[in-house]
Amino acid sequence: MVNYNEAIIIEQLRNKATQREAFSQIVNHYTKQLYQQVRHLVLDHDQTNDILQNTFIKAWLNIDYFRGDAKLSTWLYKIALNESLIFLKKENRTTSLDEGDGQYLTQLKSDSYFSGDQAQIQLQKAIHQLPSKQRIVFNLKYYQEMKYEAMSEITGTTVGALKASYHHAVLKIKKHLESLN
Amino acid sequence: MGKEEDYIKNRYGTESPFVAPDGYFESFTDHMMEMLPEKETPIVKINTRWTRIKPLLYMAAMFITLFLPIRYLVTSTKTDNTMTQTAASIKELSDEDIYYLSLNLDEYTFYEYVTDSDSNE
Repeated sequence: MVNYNEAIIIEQLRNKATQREAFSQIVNHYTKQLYQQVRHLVLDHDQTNDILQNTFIKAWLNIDYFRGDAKLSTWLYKIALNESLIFLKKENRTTSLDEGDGQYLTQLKSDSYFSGDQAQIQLQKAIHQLPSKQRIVFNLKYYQEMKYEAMSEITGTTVGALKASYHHAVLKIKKHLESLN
Repeated sequence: MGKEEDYIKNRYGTESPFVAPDGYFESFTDHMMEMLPEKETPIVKINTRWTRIKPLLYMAAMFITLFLPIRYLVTSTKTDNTMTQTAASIKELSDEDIYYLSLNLDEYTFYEYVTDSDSNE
């Protein structure tokens, strides 16, 4: 296992001879995080896999334009988020808990790649009732513990607005879950 | 955030319930790297004499392309002026002159005619 050092990786990315090997380390390092980000939005594993592959292909094709002003993680999260939103838009799943998401949420119970119980399904239903922006913010903060500053760079939204979004999201989820009990 | 967030965390935890198939992450990088397209090698431009002369030749060709039609237009305008002048001088000829001219005279006969008419005056 090679130690991941982002400064060295960025240096290697600028050299054509070492670029591919450096990118391989990036893929290895970020796959799990990006998988979770995408999976929480689209729910299905196969679709997540497709989006993840597209994300890395886009990153690879545009790696020469990465100047290192932002963190690599921010850049990759941004591409993954865009790819996810494009996918959801194509599938008409951008609105909160529409037919598409409803169908996927029902299927979660029988999904081999969903480890949660009935309570977790209820939580996912509550999350997917949120408007898409609040859903994104909630997932990044709640599951990935991402800082608001990083989120701000990814979503292009101010920290204040993100805090408000998360606050509203939590209130709505709690309300929804309480109504079930 | 506090109370509301704790309510959710205490009941549902923060661990993601979404999992991937066994060995998915382990094999993902290799699979992904195989999928990546090769980057195109940038084309290196060699600075030959031809590449240095080429812009000058293009400029010369452009100049000729622009110059020839303009020259043609100017020349044809001049020809028009000459023709107008000729028409004016024809107007000044008397009926008798026109008669002789209309006889399709050759150059010699014409000069003879002119000389005669001058000597008659």
